[in-house]
Amino acid sequence: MTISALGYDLASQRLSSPSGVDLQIGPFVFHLQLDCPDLALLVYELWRDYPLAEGAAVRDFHIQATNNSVPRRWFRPVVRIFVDGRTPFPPLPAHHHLPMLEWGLNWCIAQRSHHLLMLHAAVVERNGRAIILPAWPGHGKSTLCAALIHSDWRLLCDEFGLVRPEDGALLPLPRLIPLKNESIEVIRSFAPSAHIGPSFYGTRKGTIAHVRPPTESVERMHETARPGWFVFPRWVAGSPLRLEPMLKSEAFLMVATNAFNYEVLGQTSFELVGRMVDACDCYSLVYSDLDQAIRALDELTRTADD
Amino acid sequence: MIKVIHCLMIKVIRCALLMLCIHSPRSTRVAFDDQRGIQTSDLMTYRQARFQVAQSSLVDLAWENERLVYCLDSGETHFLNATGAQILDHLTSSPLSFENLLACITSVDEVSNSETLAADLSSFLDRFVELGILVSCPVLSDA
Repeated sequence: MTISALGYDLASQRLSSPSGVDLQIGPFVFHLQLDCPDLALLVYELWRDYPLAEGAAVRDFHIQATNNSVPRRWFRPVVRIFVDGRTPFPPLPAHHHLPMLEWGLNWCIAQRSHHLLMLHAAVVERNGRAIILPAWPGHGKSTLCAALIHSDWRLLCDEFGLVRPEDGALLPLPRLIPLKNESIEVIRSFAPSAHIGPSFYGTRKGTIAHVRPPTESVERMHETARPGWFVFPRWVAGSPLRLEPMLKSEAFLMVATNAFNYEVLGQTSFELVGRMVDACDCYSLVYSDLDQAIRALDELTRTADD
Repeated sequence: MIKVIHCLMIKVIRCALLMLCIHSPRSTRVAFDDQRGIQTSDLMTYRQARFQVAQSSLVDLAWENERLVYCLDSGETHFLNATGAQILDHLTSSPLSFENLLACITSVDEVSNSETLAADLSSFLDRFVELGILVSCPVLSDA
């Protein structure tokens, strides 16, 4: 059963109750308790397809979001995130509740999932093989990822490329895709069918709006994928499209330096990234036009499939 | 007043000594070798050292002409360009002295200026030993 199957009233009631709700998001079970009605409404709308994990043997993370006390709300309304009863971040303005919740989840995963290699990359899949898109902030990774998942690619993740060390499989973690500033309108016009949540103005990253992961991607979040291609994207205004092969050693260094926990896993990371780079074709992609970029990636992967 | 002047003079002398160490490759090398326990007092002795790959603490990957090396001891990953990879290749089969390694590299690269190459190789080896990729020991005789 998913959150949306509960209906808004029941979902809101359960999310705000002390017992909260257990949700399965990718390989993790999040226990969520929201004392924040506006946030509960957005969670119902944007996290609607996540299945409830009632009776889960293990809860990976306990997340609580609360507004401050009633008298203080008049002076300075803020929202706080608690992870296992502790607040890892200072509070944010109350109207930034959803970005804060999403950042809180990122923090939990990055801090505590060292049984997996965590690449800072978007990952999309088709026919069992995945394109891994590692990139530095501002290089257009999320925009390209949002465009790809509305062009017949399945979303595995936008932020965390989770790799299982045992077999090198990529684990899906289909979460909201945060678009920033101009990218919001770019995706609105590229994919009118995309479900984009409200815009949050004045966050530390500018204006943010979240793309809801397609229902199919969430429903298939237990299906792993094999690495097929490393593509390092970079959006450059007005640039002609350039999709060029990269040296494997260069690709290795870029993947390793861009991973969240490469150093933590040590030799395991070295060997795992080595196997992945060995198995994948590696390219750099400079683009300014999403249609062109997606056509080029379709062509690249179709050639390989043939 | 005398105390202040005395302190200033000591600081000036210390700065001068420090600058000498930083700018003198030989000073740096001697200090470096001392850390490794090799009792060297000049470049000739350094050149008689023997180098070998720290195999027990290395895992490596090779693509094209380049190599990536992971040091188990330090937990660090190092990228070696074609020259670095070539040096490692020569030392993988057996330990070599500086002179023998220099001869291997020279014959392959056909570099006429062997002094320049020797200086470059010396820098490479310094760095490799420092990073734990190679270990050095006093030479007895080459294998």
